[in-house]
Amino acid sequence: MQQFVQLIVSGLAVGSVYALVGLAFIMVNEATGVVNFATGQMVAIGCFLGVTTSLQMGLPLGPAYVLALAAMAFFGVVFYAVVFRPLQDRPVVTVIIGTVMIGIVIQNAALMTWGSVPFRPRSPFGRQVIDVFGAALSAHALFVIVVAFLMIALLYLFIYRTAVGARMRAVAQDRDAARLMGIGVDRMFVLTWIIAGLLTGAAGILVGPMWFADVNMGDPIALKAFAAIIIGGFSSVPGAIVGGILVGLAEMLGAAYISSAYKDGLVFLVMILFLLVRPQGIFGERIGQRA
Amino acid sequence: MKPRTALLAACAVFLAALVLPAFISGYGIRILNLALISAIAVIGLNFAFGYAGLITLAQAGFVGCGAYITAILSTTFGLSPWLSIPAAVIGTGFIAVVIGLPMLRLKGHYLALATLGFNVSFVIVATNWKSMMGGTDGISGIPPLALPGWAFATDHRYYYVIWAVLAAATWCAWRIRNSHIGLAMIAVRDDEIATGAASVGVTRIKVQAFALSAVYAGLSGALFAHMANFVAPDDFNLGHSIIYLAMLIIGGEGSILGSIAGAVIVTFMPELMRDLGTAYMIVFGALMLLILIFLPKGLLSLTGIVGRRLKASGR
Amino acid sequence: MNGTILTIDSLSKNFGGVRAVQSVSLAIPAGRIFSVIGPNGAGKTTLINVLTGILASSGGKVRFEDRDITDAPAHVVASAGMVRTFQNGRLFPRLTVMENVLVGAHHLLPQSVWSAIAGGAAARMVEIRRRAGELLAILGLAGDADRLVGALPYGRQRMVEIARALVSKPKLLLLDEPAAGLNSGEVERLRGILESLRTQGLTLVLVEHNMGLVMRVADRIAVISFGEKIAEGSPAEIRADPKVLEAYLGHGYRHAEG
Repeated sequence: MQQFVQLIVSGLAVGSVYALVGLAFIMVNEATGVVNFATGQMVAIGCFLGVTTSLQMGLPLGPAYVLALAAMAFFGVVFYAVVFRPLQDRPVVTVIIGTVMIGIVIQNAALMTWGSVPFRPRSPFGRQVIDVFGAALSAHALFVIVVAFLMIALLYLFIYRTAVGARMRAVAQDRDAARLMGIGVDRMFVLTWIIAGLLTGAAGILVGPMWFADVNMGDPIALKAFAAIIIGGFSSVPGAIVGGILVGLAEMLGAAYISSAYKDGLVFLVMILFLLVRPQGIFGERIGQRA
Repeated sequence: MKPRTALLAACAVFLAALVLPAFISGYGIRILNLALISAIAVIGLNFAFGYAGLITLAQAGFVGCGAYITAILSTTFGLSPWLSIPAAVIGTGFIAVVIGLPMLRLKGHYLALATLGFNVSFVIVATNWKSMMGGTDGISGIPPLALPGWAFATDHRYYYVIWAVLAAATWCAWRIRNSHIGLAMIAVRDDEIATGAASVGVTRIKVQAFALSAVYAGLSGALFAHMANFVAPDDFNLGHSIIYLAMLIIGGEGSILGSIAGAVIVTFMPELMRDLGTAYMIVFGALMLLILIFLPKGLLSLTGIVGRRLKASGR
Repeated sequence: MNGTILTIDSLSKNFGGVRAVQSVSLAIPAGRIFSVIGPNGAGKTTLINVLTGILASSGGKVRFEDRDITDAPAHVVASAGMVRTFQNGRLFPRLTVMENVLVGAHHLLPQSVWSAIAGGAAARMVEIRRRAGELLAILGLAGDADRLVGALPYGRQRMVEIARALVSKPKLLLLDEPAAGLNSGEVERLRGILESLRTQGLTLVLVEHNMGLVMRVADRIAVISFGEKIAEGSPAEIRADPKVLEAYLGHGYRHAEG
């Protein structure tokens, strides 16, 4: 029983990370139409920046993380300028390949900067456990869950309760109409990419202490986040959250109770089933198949 | 360049390529072989994506199907490569039809994700089904292609096999492009509704395009297996599927010659830049990004051999 | 040619709560030009889309030459001999004029990739190309065969679409506003083509707004308003029908003499 509770908690924790990454992906896709295949690399960079600011620069963890997040926000702007703007209005696949190429650049730059040896970032809570009814729950896992949901709540408030958020939603719904209404569309794009940078950065910082950190860490995380979005509903914000949690839980419980090796396969099998039977996911809208 | 001139130029290049091995060193031939094997897969991808507009991230998975089928048949079952290779090609095509029929009901990024799921699943199965597919260790000891008493066991010798297969594959692709099937594939991408109204069974054409891409991929994979004599799951992961797409777009999508050019460039570029040291992949990625930005119709547009079709699509 | 070639029996189409086509029944006589008119948004294009398999019906039946084709897929309908053109035209921009036309003949050729490589249908393809060439000549496109279709002016593009529909020797051609965007010279040319097709035995169903064209070529007219058929008859009958005038012009219209 205790193990079950521990698995639930770690499933929720890793699931919240997937939710954050999924949200970053959805936001960019909704607002700018870009399918960002460098999302995984952004997560990895977020993690490394967290390590750099805390370990190598010796800052206390709070300011270190803030600095790392600020750097990720800036990174989002760079992404916008280098990949999005030049390839704006190109066909979808061209933009995808563009993000892949920048992902290669990022991954190899990370390799040059931080080397290829994996390491284990420290959590602000170290390896503390909290005893809840006899179950030893990782303090860091609980921290991840809390922080992730705080961020998501803040994001929700920002998007749905502020004027700027309303403008972003307008741009996502109809770019040309928004432009005609005087909304600075490009500014909204930059803002979207900044948010994406913050979300992926936070995901990277949070997930680092749970597993290892190395230059290749981003892709498996991004893939599971993709699966989470599919299952939850491709353009759906609650979908990303629910999907992320489901994927995280499935991964942890599946690894323990079914098979450690095929745990990833399980997640993708569910994803493919959704794509075939209910492509709009749990929360998505019905997709018209004919004219 | 007019199409006829392009055809003559292509023939000249192919003939010139026959004498290449005399001028290139051992490692260079290995890279050239890899490039040409990839070219076969990219020509296949051109049917599905360049013509029919199906965003497929499954190509490396199909290459893997071809590689593993021939590997298993020729090692575990001791079949001659002359039999296992065709079996691999047909088998891969069959797999594509089976998964294509349900998947091709999906469109756009949903199809992309379904094909992504297939590729990822393939790697997971190949990694974990140790008894049949060797797990992360893969399958080794794959015999080379051989005639009685003479094996195509060196890169130099195998080059001619690959050259012949690529030439045949290119010719078949050209025939298909100029047939009503090729026209229907291009039409489907341009306007699916009008295509259906013009008497083309749209689902059937999509499955044909998809299956063709898989057949070419399977052939590519099978050739690879008998060259490297070893296959492992990571050779066929999602990253490779994306590289195939990149090869097609950078070379010139919708063009058979573009497919070959893209494969050659993207394979050789990193090798040529190795001298730059650790930063070479960064330069490669940046260069590819620049090509995407400044040459929207792909590298082939530099030579003027842009298919009329590419011009019209306004990309 | 006698008899009814297309029977539409109480055909309906709903989009959620919107009843776009409400229980429409028509009997299209073979070898004649039958026109469907009505105010904008009346459901005419939706009707054609349901007939040709682009949309699923919500009720009713369609029989073409004694064959039930209700909800048959678009390519099956086309292969059976009932073809159509689209409002504003739908062409394939990456193909030439000739290639656009050839797509219409797809079902006449073997459907296998292998035959495409091996060239089994070469003779039939030659025949189809010849016919396509003839059609292009009749429609005034003789020199344009190898030009990309996007390079043509709008009026000629509409003709390419007609050629694509005709290349497979269909029995019935549905035209969705073929005169839209054409100048009077082009409309006159279109009229000549439609009458010539009728002489050759083709049945035509013409959805149109251009009343001048409709009144001059149509043998029979049906009027659709808000998804329902409100009138059917000869051009003279339709012109005098008060329900029709009301549908177009609203209440209280007094018909000027003429």
